[in-house]
Amino acid sequence: MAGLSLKGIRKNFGSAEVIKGVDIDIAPGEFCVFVGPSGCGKSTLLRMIAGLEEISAGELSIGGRVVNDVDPSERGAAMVFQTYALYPHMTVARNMGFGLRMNGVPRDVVDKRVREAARILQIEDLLKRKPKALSGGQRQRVAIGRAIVRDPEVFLFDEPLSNLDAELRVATRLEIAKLHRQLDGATMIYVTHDQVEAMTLADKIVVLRAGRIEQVGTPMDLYHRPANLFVAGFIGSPKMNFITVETRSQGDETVATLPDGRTLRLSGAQANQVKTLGLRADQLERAQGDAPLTGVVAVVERLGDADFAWVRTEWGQEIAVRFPGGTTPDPDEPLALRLSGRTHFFDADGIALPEVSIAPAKD
Amino acid sequence: MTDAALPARPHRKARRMRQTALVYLFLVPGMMVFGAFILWPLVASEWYSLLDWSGFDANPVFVGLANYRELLGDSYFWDAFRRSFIFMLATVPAQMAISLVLAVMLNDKLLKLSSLYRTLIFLPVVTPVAVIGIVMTLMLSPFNGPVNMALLDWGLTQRTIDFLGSPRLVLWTLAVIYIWKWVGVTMVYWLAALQTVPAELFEAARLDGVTGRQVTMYIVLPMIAPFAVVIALISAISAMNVFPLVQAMTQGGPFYSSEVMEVYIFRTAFASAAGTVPRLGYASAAGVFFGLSIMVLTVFQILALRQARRQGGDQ
Amino acid sequence: MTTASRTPMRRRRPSLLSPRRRRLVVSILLAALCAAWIYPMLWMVSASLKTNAAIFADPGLIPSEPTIENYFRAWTEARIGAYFFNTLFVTIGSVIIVTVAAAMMGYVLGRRQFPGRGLIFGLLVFTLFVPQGYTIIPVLGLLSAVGLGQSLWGVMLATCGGSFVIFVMLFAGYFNQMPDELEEAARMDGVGMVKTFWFVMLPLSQPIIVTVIVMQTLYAWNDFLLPLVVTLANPAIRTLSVGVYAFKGENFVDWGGMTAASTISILPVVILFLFLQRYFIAGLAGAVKG
Repeated sequence: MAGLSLKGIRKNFGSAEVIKGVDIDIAPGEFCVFVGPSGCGKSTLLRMIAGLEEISAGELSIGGRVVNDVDPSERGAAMVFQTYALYPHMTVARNMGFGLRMNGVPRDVVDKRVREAARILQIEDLLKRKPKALSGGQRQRVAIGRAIVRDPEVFLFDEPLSNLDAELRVATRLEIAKLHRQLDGATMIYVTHDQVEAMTLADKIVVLRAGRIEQVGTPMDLYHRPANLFVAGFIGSPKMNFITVETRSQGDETVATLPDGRTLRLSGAQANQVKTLGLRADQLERAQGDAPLTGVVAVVERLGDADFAWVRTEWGQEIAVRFPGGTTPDPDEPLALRLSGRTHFFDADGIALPEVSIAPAKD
Repeated sequence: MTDAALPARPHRKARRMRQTALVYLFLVPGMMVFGAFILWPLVASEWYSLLDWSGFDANPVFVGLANYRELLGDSYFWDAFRRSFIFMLATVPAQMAISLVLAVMLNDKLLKLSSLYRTLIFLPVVTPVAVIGIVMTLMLSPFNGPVNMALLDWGLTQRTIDFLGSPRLVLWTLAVIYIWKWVGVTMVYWLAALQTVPAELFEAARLDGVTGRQVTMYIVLPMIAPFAVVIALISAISAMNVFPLVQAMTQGGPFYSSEVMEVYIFRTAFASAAGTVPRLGYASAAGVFFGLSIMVLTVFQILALRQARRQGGDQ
Repeated sequence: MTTASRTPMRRRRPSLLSPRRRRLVVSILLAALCAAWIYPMLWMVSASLKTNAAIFADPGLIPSEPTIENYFRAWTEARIGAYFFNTLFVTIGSVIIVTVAAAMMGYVLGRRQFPGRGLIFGLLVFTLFVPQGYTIIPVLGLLSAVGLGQSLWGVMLATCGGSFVIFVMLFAGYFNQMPDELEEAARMDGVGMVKTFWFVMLPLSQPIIVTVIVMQTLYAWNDFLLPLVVTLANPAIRTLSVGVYAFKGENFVDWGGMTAASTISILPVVILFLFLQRYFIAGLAGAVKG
């Protein structure tokens, strides 16, 4: 078990800089997820840790040892590829033991390690099969098994679930979480574009965009205290509602004007810099009488335990609102909404303003 | 490299050098075969063509362009040159058309025995030309040969036809035999091209109520059209390598009437039977001259290929 | 068809033949064509089982008094037996050399970047379009220079050049389209380039290997010009092609012996092709797609 430290890591492909200076510390035993939209550099970053891509600048250390120049196989890292990368012509057992055998580990030792890994993953009865005869989920397990056999300091997962169907993806996600505990909390780095995977698996999430870190934190940190508009929009489903507002000072408080002319009174140090209001679907409630938001229900998505209504405001924006099952309005029904719970504020650059809040009502 | 920001890394550099060395090591056996038997002959031919050289034991004499000057006035050379091109023009289109029809018929997955038919059509391809020389000489023999017997029996001809002995017929007879021998290969190329047409297209067309012939005409043929140029190119180059067949059947005869370029080169370079002196330099000059002509033809075809690709891209 | 005729798409004239009937017609056509196609071969095998007197007198395909006397005569007197093993030597040797050399070269060309790669590719493509028969003189010159001008080893080595460029291209194309992850997985496992090539890439290129083996076998077994020239002065090292050809020139009335020798010389390649034709076509198709 080893921790990792990335200091000022950069990567150039020719003249294009794809990783623009990344600093991350990953503690031993931590499950760290790199998440971001496609093209953000998350896979490149993982491949640089693995040693499959060279590091253009910066310093990477694993377990306190700088490994920039160390061969991939000597970094103590094992990788699970998106496409599994199983050798099609070898049996499962051969696939899992191939690396060790090629490096001169005696056959009986290899066999023992393979059997042990197969036991952990419950694939003992598949050992004699070839990858072609396996389902997607089974192939995934074999790929993980091949990593386990190497007994690495760090596991690297490159979008391991993206080739599985929805149901299997949920099941395998749970398996990986279980595995992390079973392997006495081995250090794992996991790349995905799916924020649900990130939220459910991670001890620590690194949100990346365009080769830069947007925010690092625990899943709940990111959910409740997004550092900027990008993270706020990326984490959480459905996407956070953003409403553009105009602010003006009125005495010692700030008044924010919604697009339809209604106003909200804000307090806090930087309240006059607010440009965008962020509201999650579960931070809105049906209101009676006077309310800051009104609109007409456009579409309703019923999930059973909870429903989402898409409410069209007077200025034409559609806002997602979560209702507990059974209390959902019908389409075309007019609706008044009030804000409940946390409201997020962002300035003109999209940076969060955590000190701003809605001023308490003055009666 | 982009590593300027980092201090020198001796062992990474060493590893990379080792990798590069290994890459070149992997090339060695292949480059030896390629260099010795493909590249070197191309270069050496040019040099040989400037020599007067009567055999590998003899001492070559540099004669400049004399061989080429003589070549231009050699009517045997020009006859052979002409025959090679006539042969190519006679065989390639027919070969491509016949093999395409066969391939389209045999590409039907539901057709029973289609793999047997493929094998049978491929049989002449795997048969050595020396064997074909014997069998076809027998088959076409004007004395009780099966072909002549059949033609007489069916009343298609009154007199036996000397397919290989008549200077007027021999080249065309060889062309037919050539097509028969090599259609199997072209058919395999077409079959391979046909496999690139996705099965969904056939199914979609069927659901639209399109008939089999329409599917072939409007879907399959346009899709494999880009391959046609490549296949034509390969076929044309192959049709220039007709030496084995001609040598095995007629050795260029009768009276040089089937002497194509390769046979001419062979005769001038090695023919000892006629008692003439082997002329390696002169034969090389003929080879170089003809090779260059083919190269021009190839470039022309490649341009046509580009054109076809561009049109394909516009769609 | 009744339900189909109601749909609007079927307004057009219904086709005369149902797909099944059309298939039947195609089958009959093909069967007739194939019978005519291989008639010369059947006739050859038939003639090889007849006495010289019976070949033209007994026109039926099934010999009335079959004899294998021709085969004995061809095998021993005409030395077809010796030629058979000469050909086997040339074929097997060149297949091994060509497969290994082309696979290795195709691997680095298809998967590695290195200085000179573009140049090598350019040379390969350039030579692809130059007909081979015109370069026989320098090939022979080279063989003479290294003392192999009249040796079976010379024939074997020079035969390797036949379709070598196409084989390298086939391998390069195939390796090139293989997913990077396979090699990366091996790299993560600390498996070096040689072992990765041998244990991972080469086994996976089996379709191309089969294609190359079939094509090179066909080429080497049937090659004519080169063995003819090399063995002009040394009949003992003739290959089957040259031997059968010489047979025709030396014993031009022994049609029974000639057809027997011919049958012997096509049998191995026909059998090989029968076994491997499925993989061969599939391999070529894969290469065309790539």
